Amino acid sequence: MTEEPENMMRSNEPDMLADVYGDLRQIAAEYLRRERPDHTLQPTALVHEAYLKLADSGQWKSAAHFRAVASRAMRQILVDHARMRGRLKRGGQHERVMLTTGVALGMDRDLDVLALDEALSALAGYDERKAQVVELRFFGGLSARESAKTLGIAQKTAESDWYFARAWLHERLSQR
Amino acid sequence: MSDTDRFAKLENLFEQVRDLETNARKAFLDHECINDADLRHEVEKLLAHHDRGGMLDDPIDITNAQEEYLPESVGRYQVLECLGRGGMGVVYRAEQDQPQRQVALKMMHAGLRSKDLQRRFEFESSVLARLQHPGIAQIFEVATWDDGNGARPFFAMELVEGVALDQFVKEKHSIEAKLRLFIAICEAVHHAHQKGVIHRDLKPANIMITHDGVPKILDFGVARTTDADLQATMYTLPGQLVGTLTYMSPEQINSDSSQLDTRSDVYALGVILYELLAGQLPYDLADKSLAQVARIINEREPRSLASHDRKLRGDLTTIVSKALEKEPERRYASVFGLISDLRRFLAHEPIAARPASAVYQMTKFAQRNKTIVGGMAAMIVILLSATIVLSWQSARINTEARTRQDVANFLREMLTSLDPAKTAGEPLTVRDMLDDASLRLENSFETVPSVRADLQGTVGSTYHLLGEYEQAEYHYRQAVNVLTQEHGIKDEKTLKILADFGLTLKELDRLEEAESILRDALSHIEDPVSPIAIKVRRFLAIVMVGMGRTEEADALFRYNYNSLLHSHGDKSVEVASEAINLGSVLMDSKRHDEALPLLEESLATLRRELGDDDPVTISAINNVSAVYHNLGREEDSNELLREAVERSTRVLGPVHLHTLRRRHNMVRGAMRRGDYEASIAETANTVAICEQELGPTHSETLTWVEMLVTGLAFGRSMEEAEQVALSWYERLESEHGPTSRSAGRMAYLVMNLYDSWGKEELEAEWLRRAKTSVYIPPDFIMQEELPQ
Repeated sequence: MTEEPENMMRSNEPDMLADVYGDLRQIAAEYLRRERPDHTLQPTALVHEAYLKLADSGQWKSAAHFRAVASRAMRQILVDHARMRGRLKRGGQHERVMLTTGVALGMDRDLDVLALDEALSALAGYDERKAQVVELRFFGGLSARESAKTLGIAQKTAESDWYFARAWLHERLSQR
Repeated sequence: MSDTDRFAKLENLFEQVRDLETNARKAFLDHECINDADLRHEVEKLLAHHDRGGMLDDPIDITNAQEEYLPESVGRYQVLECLGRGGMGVVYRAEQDQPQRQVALKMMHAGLRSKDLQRRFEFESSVLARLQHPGIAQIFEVATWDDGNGARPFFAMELVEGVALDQFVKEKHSIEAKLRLFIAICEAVHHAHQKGVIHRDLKPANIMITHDGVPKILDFGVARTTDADLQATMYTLPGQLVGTLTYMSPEQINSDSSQLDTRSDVYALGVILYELLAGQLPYDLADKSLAQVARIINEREPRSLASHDRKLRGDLTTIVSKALEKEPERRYASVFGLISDLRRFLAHEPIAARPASAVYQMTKFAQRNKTIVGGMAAMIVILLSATIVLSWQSARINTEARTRQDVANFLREMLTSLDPAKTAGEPLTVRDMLDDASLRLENSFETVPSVRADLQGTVGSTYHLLGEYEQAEYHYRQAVNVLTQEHGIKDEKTLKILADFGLTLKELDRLEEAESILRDALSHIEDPVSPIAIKVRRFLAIVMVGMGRTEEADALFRYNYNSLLHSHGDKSVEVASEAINLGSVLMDSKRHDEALPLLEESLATLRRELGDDDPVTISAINNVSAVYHNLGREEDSNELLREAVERSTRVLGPVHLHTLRRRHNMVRGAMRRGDYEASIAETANTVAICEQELGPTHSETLTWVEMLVTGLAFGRSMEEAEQVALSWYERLESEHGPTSRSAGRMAYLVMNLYDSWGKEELEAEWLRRAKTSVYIPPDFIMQEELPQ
């Protein structure tokens, strides 16, 4: 599959997002609801599985296109999950749920998904592309190279975006 | 200043100072933020975060996004704690009142969705409750429990305290202790089979070893009872299913789960035994996708048990291989068969299982390899197989079983290593295969060193063909040592390898060494016109050409030429081949008038006698084309070169070193003519082929990258060339480090590019970078070739 050098998320078809969302959510839900399996599951695996299921539907311009949409879906799933958890626990009252990232927590505390989501939206207000880079890498599990390809930008640009966005988000989250 | 402006400013500053050293950052900010202490403070905070890195660097791991949940009770059991969570369910430690005891409660995730399933569940539960064996964790009760989310089955089982087998595997135990424990496990499984219960999910995590060292199998029949619907599971639980798939037989992965029989458990036991003995799984499934895992289990031969530990050679390897056969019919028909063979092994009696014959392996290989990787792979197989057979016959190895088995094993392992399925989608390079075969060679044929030496000679010449001269040297040297010891230096076989060895040294540019070895070899040959004398002399002449001693080369070739003329006549292939060499040397001495008729006539002879597609003819075509080029007859030269490339690609394969060199000559010619677009396309294509077949770090691959970058720089734009060069550098740098040979070579390439571009600062920077590597760039040598 050839990847097209254009920003895949600019053509943000809501229907496709909904499709991927539903499917990914179903897969992720198995994990989120119940068990702690032996193997860690990073989004890459989920996105891959979802891709296997959905790739045939023919509506995707490319694998990059799919990954872009899937990363957005993954973010929404985790945010929704966190919100729902909060409501269930406190009878509707907003409760923060901690998700730990895979390894090496530089900040030595759990990541607050809802806070990250808010910060990411704020970042998008200033610079949408930077927020997309974070979305692809953190929620989509893409590498620097893949995210650059997906957004149709140079790898160097994607890296610069990433460094700044990461520092900016850290700073914003540390102010909470 | 608006928020947006401030953001842009912040980003701009951050970007500029990010990669500077602390002092440089400070100096820069001192200057830039002289009137804005707040901005400076913000940048510094961001820099501090940047330097720390950390959070967000790894993609989010959703498996951690859950909370522990502990029900108070399940049915009549008080839940005490959670013992573990797995793919199909969660296990609690629980307390029962009547009788008073602690039990393990296994709650299944999947509910009973249909009436059919419900009925089957009830039926199977009653069977399970009757299963009683000291090696099986007793199931006390099977029922359902509705916690508000629908009825889910649960099992109340004997609580086994101890360690799981996967823990035991990691500890050190003698082979015998492992086998005894394993036999006990088999006995329990066999008992269940006799009661008509198949486990279907045997794996070390399901086998506990009590503190008394007794194995207890958990979850017997659980998979079947709840119909954990393997297909559905496969799609819903990707990461962890791989862990379970490891122990699943091919038929279990492929077919309807109702078709399974006891032989699927035999397979799982085979994997467990393998893991117990080798400390590793038979297949490397790490980081593979589900589809890949399924393919590996279905198609790939497991790594031979003997390759892990020499002590496991022979019967144990045979037993494990039989249990792990892909087709159930070829496995032990029952667990009892497996137990019996293991007992025989422990009692030093002959086992019943027989290793698969080489012929069977060959047939399987051929069936599986309709899409073999390419001509080279097949060639290596043929070369090595032929060497084995020949060497076996000539050495008159007695029919001692051990040797026969060695040969069969080696052949089998080599064949399976060539199996494209083995790499599960990753590109398999010819180099990989050869490395694999030569590694195995190190541990084979200990009792028959001369067979090994022959094989090493063949491996050496294959490396030579691939342009891997250092590897070739290593194998040749070993072969020479053994052969000299076994047969003496005057033996023709020894001399032949010595000659090849000398030529490899020449390619390594160790010309003096090559000369001394070849001269030494020549001095041991009695008949100066024997084929081996001709060969050694020819190679010596080639070394002389390399040293620029054309007159000596001329004399040596001429001696051969006259001898052959005398013995074979002027229309013979032998004379024609040598005439091509002689003619090339004459060209070097600018004796064109003498050279041209000799070459043209010889080429005609070769075409007539050997045909146009013979490798020797193709070499001659290439060399005559070089002569035309030297004479300025570009059109004639191009025509022949194109022919050589076309024939070479077809006959020798696209990755053969000779093909690549001819292609190289052709592309260079096209570039000289200014035909860049065609060259770029041709070069990019060759880079891709080399990358796949030889790997990204192979010197031939890098040579073509250099050509590509050159073509782009002159034919299109410096920017495009820069992009390709940098991406290759970055890739090799990240994979092999900045000091590696391959990254260094690319750094020189980038440097040269900046040089041509006139970017002096970058050129200097890249030169510095290039110099940190171990790579030393050679002076450019036009690669000509001579038939050998």
